[in-house]
Amino acid sequence: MELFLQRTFDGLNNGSVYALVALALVVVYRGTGHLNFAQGEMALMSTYVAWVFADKGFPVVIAIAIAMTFAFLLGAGVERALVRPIAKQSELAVVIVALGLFTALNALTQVFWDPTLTRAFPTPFPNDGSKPLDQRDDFVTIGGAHVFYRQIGVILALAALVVLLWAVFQKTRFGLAMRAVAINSESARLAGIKVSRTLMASWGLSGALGALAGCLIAPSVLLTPQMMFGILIYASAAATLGGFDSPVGAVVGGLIVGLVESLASGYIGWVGSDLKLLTAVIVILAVLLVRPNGLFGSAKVERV
Amino acid sequence: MSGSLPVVIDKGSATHRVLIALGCVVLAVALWFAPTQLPGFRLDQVTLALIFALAIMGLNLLTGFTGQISLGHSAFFGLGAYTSGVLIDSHDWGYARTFPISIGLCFVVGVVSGLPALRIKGLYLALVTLSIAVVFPTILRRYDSITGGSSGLNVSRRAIRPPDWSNISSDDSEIWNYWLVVGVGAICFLLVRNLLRTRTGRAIIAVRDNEVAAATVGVNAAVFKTIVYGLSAALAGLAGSLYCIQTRALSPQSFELTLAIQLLTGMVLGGVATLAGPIIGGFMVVFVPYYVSDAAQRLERPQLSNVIFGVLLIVFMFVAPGGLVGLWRKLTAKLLRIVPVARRREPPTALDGTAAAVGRT
Repeated sequence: MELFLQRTFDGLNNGSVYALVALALVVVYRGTGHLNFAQGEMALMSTYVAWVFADKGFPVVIAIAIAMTFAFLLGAGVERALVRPIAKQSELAVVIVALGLFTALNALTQVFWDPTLTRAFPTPFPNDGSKPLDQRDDFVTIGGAHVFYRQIGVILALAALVVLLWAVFQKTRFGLAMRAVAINSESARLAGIKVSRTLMASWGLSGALGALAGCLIAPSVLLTPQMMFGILIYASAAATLGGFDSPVGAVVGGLIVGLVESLASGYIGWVGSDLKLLTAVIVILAVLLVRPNGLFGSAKVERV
Repeated sequence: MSGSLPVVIDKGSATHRVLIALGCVVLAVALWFAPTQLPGFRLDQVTLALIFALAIMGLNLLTGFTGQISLGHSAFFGLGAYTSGVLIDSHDWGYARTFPISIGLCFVVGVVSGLPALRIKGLYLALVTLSIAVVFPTILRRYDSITGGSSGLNVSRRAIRPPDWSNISSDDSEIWNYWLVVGVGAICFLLVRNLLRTRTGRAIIAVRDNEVAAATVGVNAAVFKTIVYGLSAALAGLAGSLYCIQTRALSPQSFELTLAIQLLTGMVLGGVATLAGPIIGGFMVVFVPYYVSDAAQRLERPQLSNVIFGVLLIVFMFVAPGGLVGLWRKLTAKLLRIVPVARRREPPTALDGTAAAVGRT
C-alpha cells in the first residue's frame, strides 16, 4: 500500500510535467494544426537559460520567469520566421522544418553549454536534497509514503497554471481570439481578429509553457541535452490520449500517462525502469488505433 | 527556335543515347578506380556513404514516392544491423546468409508497423514513427543478453573476410566491402527504379498525390501502402546489415533518433522523390559532418556539425525543396532540354480536339 501510494505520487509528479508539455503541444496544435516536434528542444534551451541566471545567483523564480520570457520570444519568432512561410508548402515540410529546428537547437545548446558537465538545477520549492533521508525536513508522510515538497510544488504549479490558462482562454479577449482562430481562422479574420498575431502569441505561450515544464523537471533529473527526448514522447502520448485539440485532455492525459508509466514500471517486471518509455509508445498506438480523437478531442470530419 | 540555349535534343535520339552512355562510362570509371586510387579511410567513408544511400533510398520510397512520413527508419536500420551482428557473432553464421534474414525480418516488422499507418496519417504517423525511433535503443539496452546492451556488440574481423574467389586478401577487406556494397546497392537501385516504372510504382505515386482520386480509379491504397512500408523497411534493414559488416561494431547510440533525422536530412538535401537524390544524400550524411567537425574541432565545438545539419535542413526546405537534384535540374534545364519526340512535332489537331472533348466530359 505504502509502495503503491509512493508510486502514485511519483506518477502524478511526472505526469504534471508531461501535462505541461502536452498543454504546450495542444496550444500550438489548436492554433495552427501543427505538431511542434521541436517543443522539447525549445524547452531545453530555455531551461539552460534559466540555469545560467540561477547560477549567477538570481532567485530561481526570477530565473524561471526570464527563461519563460525567452521561450515566449523564441516560440513567437519560430512561428513568424519558419512555420508560417513554410506552412504553404505542405504538412510534411513543416514536420521537416521542425525536425531541423530540433537538431539545431539541441546541438546549439551543446555548443553553448558543455554537455560533459553535469548541472544541478535548483528547485524553487523547499528542498534538503543533500542531506540523508532521516535528517530531511522537506516532505510529508501520507500513508507511509514520502511526498516531497518539490513534488507537491510541481503538482500545485500545474493546478495553478490550469486555472490561469482557463481564465485566459475563457475570460480575456486574447483567449477569445485564440479560441476563435482555433475553430475557424477564416471567420475569425472576417470578424476582425488579427489571426497572424494570435498565432504568434499562441506559439509564444506554448514556448513559455514548455520552458516552465523544463525548469520544473530539471531538479529531479540532471540538466542534460537528452533531458527532453523522453519527455516529448510522454507529452505526445498525453496529448494523443487527451485529444490533440483539448487543453483539458492534455492535463488529464498527462496525469494518466504519468501514472501508467510509474505503475507499469513498478509492477510489471519486464517493463522495469528500462522500458518505461515503451508504455508511452503503447499508449500512443493504442489510442490512435482505438479512438484516434482521444478522450476529449473533437472528431475531425474531412470533406472529399 | 529562338536563341541557342537551351539546346534541345529528342528523347531517345542518337545524341541523347550518347549522352547517357557517356554518363554511364564516367560513373563506371569512378566506381572502378575508387578502391585503387582512394586511401583506405576515404574508401571506407565512400562505402559508408553508399550504405546510408541505400537506407535513404528505402526511406525515399516510403516518404518521397508514397507520401508516408517515417521518422523511424533508424529502428529498421538498427534492426538489420543487429540481426546480422547477433547471427554472425553468437551463432557463427556466414555474413552473406544473414542478409536474407534481416531483409525478411525487417520486411515483416515493416508491414506490421505499417498497419497502423493505414489509419494513422500525416502528423500522427510522424509521431508514431518518432516514438518507435526513440524506443528502439532502449529495447536494445534492455535485452542486453542478446544485444550486448550499452557496451555494444563487436563482430570479429575474421568472421568478415573476402571470399576466396574474389582474389582479395583479407588485409584488403575494405575493398571487398566496397564492392559488396556497390553490388548490393546497384541491384537495389535497379529494382527500385524498375518498380517505380511499373503499375505498382504509378499506383503508389497516385496514392501520394491524391489518395481519394487513386481509390476511385481502383488503386487499393491500403495494400500498396503496407507493401511499400515493408519494402522500405527491408531496404533500410539490408543497409543496416551492410553497416554491421562495414563497421563491425554496433552500439545502441548509433541507432538513436539522430540517425533517423540524418536519414531524413540526407533525403531532403539530395532530393525528395528522385532516384539520384538518396545517393547524393548518403554522401552528404557522411561528408558534411566530417568536414564540418574538422573545423569544429579547431573551435573545440564538435556539436557544430549538427547545428549546421539542422540549419541546412531548414534552409533547403525554404530555398530548394527539390534538394540538390532539383537545383541541378533547374540549372541544366537552362542549358539542355531533352524532350519526348512526339511533343516537338506539329500537334495533330484533330486528335487534340478529341482529347480535349474527352477531358471535358
